Amino acid sequence: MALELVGLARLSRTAELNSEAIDACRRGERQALDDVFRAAMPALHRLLVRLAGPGPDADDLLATTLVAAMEAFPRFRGEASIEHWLACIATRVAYRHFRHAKPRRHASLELLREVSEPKDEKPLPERAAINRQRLERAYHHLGRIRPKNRIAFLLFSVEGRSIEEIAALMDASTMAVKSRIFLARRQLMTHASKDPVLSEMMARDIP
Amino acid sequence: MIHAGCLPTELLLDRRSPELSVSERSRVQQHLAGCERCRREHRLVLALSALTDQRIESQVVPAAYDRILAEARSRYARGEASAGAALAESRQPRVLTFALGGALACAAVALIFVFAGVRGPKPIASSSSKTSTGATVASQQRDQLIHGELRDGVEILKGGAAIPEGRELGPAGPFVVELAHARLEVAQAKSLSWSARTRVATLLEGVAVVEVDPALRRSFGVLTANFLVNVLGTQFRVDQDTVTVSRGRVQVLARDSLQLLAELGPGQSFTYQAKAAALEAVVPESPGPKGVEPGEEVKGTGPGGEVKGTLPASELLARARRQLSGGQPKQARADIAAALLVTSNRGEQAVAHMLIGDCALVEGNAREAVKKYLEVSRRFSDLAVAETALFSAARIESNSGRKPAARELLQSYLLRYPAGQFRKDADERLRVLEAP
Repeated sequence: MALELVGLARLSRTAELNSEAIDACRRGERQALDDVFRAAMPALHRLLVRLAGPGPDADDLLATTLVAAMEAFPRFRGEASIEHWLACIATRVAYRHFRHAKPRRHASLELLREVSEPKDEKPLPERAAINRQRLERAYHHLGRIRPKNRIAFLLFSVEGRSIEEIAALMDASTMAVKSRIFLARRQLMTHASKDPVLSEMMARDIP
Repeated sequence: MIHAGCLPTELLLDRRSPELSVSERSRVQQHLAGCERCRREHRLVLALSALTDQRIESQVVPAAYDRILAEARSRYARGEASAGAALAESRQPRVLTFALGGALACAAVALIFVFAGVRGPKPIASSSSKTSTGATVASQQRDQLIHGELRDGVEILKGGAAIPEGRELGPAGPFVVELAHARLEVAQAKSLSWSARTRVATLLEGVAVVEVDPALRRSFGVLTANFLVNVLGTQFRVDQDTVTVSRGRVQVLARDSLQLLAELGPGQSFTYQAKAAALEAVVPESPGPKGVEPGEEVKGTGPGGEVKGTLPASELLARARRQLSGGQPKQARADIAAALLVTSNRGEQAVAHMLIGDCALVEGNAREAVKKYLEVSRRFSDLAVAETALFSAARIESNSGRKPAARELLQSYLLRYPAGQFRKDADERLRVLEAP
């Protein structure tokens, strides 16, 4: 969290106080782009992990976001802050990814360790394993929800953004955002109620 | 689910609680105390948020940012940007969109009528080709031999002849060609082949001076036996081991992994040293783009490879598989590298990486094979090949007698694929491992 704040503070300084840096980015100067991207990456990465869920997709989406930003920087008008502009791009990248991605048939293997890594002989705490399974099930069901509704829901309930912010990010009206969140929640609840892992979680508070 | 009598959506979310007034918070608490459905939903949202935050702490690793930034730069240089440019643009107002759409549709209909009436049916053969970025360019008109002679099988191509795509051409001496928006002056080459789709010229042996028109802002690549030189608009000299830039900027990428090896500016050169397994960049005194640190590991396939990159990836992979079963991992690796270069299909990429693991296995490097299989199972976890990859890794560890690693991998396999095709084998191996 602290890193994220530092990143955003650096980003704001770069974006608002140093218009020369922005001009350099528009000209495509590598150092300036690197500075802006490095400051923005923690926040963007968190956003994309929240949208895409656990797994390797977030890294790919982050790289795609940066590629689109590199291309579009000459047309950055400076009317919005850089972080908002980059978040808009990241949201659209995630949306396009969801639209074209096939639903995952299996849970991710991200916790599988490299064999060459040093081994921890202690078994993983049971609770962590259960929570991981819950999260995977939740994102599995989220994957069945329409991408627009899913993104609005995740931005609202997991990322903690306001309706107005989401409307700006998704280029939609506030009413549209509200109905998307509503529909996503209804659908998620329908799926979750039939899922034994999530049903159990909903029956009592998680530890 | 919100139902009749429930509170508005916003009020039910925990994240908003600090922003709620005392009366609103009281309303939420009272409602949650009495409404089981809202309570369940509230718990679900709360848990999702908390669990995602936990997950983020372990997944978001600042050390990975350098790699991601380098990958983004590489993809941008390869011309993937234009496909993603629209992502940064605001959507046009709907009225304007409809108006523009209507006007375009009318224009398209009018054009169809005009062409149908004036020119008759469209000929099957077209002079245009589809580029990797989706833009259609009339590249065939410019893919021609300007000077010298080239052999295409038994046919001899002379000045003014079109350069056929995907054919291995043998030069009879120095020659000059124009390919897409680039001009190549080549001496002592053994062969040249050209892919208009990827805009990559593959050069086996010899030296080429390449001049790429920067006005089009499209990438152009020269693939040697050791590396890929990727440019937007520049002039440079390239042979199998060295790139020297006269004007503009070039990127040098590893042939198999497409990892960025060096980015060069005017007056800079890059040398590939296969025998020492090290790279050296000769950088002039003036500050310029980053060179390559000496001693960096080479991931190229080494000199002497056959010309690749012009066949479809599926054919290259099939050939690699045949070579592998014939006990020729080195040749197979070259084909796999070429396939990775031309494909953007994730399925083919997954198969290619699996085959790299197979190559390591044939070469006797089990550790490397396991590493590669695990990489496949993680990167392509949504594809069927991930199952085979994970079990292959488990089987190698089991056969090698590394019991803890084998046990862990087999358990992971059974957990992830409880009805998988290797379930019985995995069960059996696990039973043997766990036997006293």
